Amino acid sequence: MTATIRVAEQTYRETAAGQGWFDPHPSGQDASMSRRMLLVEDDVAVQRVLTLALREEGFDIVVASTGTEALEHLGRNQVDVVLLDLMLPDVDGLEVCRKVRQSSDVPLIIVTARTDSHDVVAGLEAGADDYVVKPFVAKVLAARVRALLRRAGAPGETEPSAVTVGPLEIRPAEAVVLRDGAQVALTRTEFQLLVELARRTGEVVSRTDLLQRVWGYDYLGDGRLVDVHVRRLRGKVERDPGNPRHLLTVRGLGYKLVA
Amino acid sequence: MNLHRQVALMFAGVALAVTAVLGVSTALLLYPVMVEQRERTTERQAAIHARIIEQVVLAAPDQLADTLRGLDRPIASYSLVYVDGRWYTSNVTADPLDLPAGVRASAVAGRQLVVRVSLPTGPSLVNVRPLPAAGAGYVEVFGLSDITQTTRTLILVLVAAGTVTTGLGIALGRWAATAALRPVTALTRAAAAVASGDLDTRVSPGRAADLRMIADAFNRTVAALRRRVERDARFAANVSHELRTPLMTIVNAVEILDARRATLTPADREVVGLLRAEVRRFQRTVTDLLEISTAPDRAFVFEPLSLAEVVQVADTVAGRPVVGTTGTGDGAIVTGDRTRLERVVVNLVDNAQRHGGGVVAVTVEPGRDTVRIVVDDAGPGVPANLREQIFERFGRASGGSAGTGLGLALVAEEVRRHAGRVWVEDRPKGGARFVVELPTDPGAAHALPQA
Repeated sequence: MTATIRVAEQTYRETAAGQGWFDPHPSGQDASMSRRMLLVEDDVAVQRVLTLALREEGFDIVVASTGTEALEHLGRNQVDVVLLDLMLPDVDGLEVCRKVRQSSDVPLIIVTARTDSHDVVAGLEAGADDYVVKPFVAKVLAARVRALLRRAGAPGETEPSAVTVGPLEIRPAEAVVLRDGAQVALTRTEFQLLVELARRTGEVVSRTDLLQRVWGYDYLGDGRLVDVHVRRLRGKVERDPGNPRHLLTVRGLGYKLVA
Repeated sequence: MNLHRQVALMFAGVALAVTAVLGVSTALLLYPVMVEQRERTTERQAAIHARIIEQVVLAAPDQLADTLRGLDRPIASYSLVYVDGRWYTSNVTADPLDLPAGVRASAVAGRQLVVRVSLPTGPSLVNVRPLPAAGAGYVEVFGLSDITQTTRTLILVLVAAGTVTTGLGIALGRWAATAALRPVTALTRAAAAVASGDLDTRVSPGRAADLRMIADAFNRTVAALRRRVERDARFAANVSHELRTPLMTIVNAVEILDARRATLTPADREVVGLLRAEVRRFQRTVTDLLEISTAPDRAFVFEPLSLAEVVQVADTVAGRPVVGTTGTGDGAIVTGDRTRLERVVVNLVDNAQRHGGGVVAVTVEPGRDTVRIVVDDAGPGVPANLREQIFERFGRASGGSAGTGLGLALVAEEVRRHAGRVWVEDRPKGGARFVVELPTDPGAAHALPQA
């Protein structure tokens, strides 16, 4: 099986390189707008095809074949987004995820082979912002990444300058959250989630709503994204995360933020 | 009845039986022995007294009454003498008329007699002796009340002892059962833990050799089960990876080609179009197949869910508002796995869109112990002979190429795992009506054996 795949890869690369039928830098894209994506994936054919397809979507792709390579690259260079396959030959993908989160809040999407509770939830708990399931189409992934980056890049002009909820002070314009006066370190997704809940303080916000507004899902988002992010957020903004007083679960309906 | 109680009752039963046998036999044997002994000793006293009285009657009949009163009585008794048609007694309360007629007759007739009788003074031993030389009859009456009393006290003591012993038997039985069954209890707990999915459970072998065999067998079985489960999971993960990775490349390569349609010749364009459609279908089939084959192994996340919220996903799939509720459907809460129930709704709506001429309405209908999700479509309906078959894998009704043939099978699988039912019927106004019925009792889903 492995041998067959290798032959196929070989043939594919020769075809692509030899005939030059794919332009890696399409003229329609504004080079200054292109975002840099670190693609962590060990399968050569997938590396190539995603590089080609995502370049067409306007991304600069840097490839890392192993977790170690990926961490080394992140240590030296700036990237805008990381696409991380959880099945890696050397380090466990979840471990890579946690290590990235120790030093960076770069948007991170994990790639999993199963919609398994374990894989997805473990990945999100390790700090991922979103996930995609193999096989996915590059165009769909690009849309997901753009949603993540849009939020990250432009902390909305329409946001109020500051909201106070209980011990929390949220300043959307500056992307800063203070708890009892001290700054809390949130990832961009966590921050966006908090802002969306604060926008409707005291009201129940459904998972579907949050998926739409925070992750940009207009089709079939996974409620677990919200659940795990809320858990992570509680760990940072609640005084006693095990006994939340402000970020509350409304059974069967969604979440609400109260003072 | 559980083993603990059985063992305790067994101990109590044995204790009761032993004390009862001991008590009854003691009482039955002891009383005659004591009476017999009393007969022997009184025999002697009566014989001596009879001789004295005979001589007095012969020598000095006028002193008879005094002699009767003055007789030395080591064993308490009273005496009566019949002489010349008259009765003489040793004390005033003694009345010959109290004696049974047979005793009186023997005394009158001068016959010897030893008999136990019941007198107004209580159970007594009566010794009748003839006084042949004097032509008289002598009667001496000994009380047996003390012996009866002793026996009665003894029986009371034995009953009390029996009660205490039985109680002790129950306690001992309980203790013994608990001690003896401790390994079995541990084994039961371990088996329950394994059944609920904890394959790391082991039981400690303990000291008893026969129980060690069971414990070892149990541990070996669980270890084998664990290896098997791990191997299956690894296999599933590998299959999934080996199928998904090349699909990843194929799907995206076709998309890249498709994006360049404009530069292709019409013939090539058609080829790419065919390829793209088939690749998509293949992709859906593979992902559905992987989903359905790994579904049983995947962990459930059971939580209370508002079905009204779960079915919201139908609007998104249909691309227009189709969700309505009947009555108090908004408040219908079931215990289930959100991702899986959403999948059920998505697949049903998807099915209505593909094969049923479009979804008409999705409603939540609360019942007494159940809640229903009803999906109506505007299609031709499902013929009666196909209503079971369409929920089987690749059991599609039409030979059409639109679906993977697995969507409804996945629905059936997930609904079954939620202890619910799914079926299709005719919609009153035409079209098909798919009904998912889920129990509102949170225990029902958990009660299912976890594969």
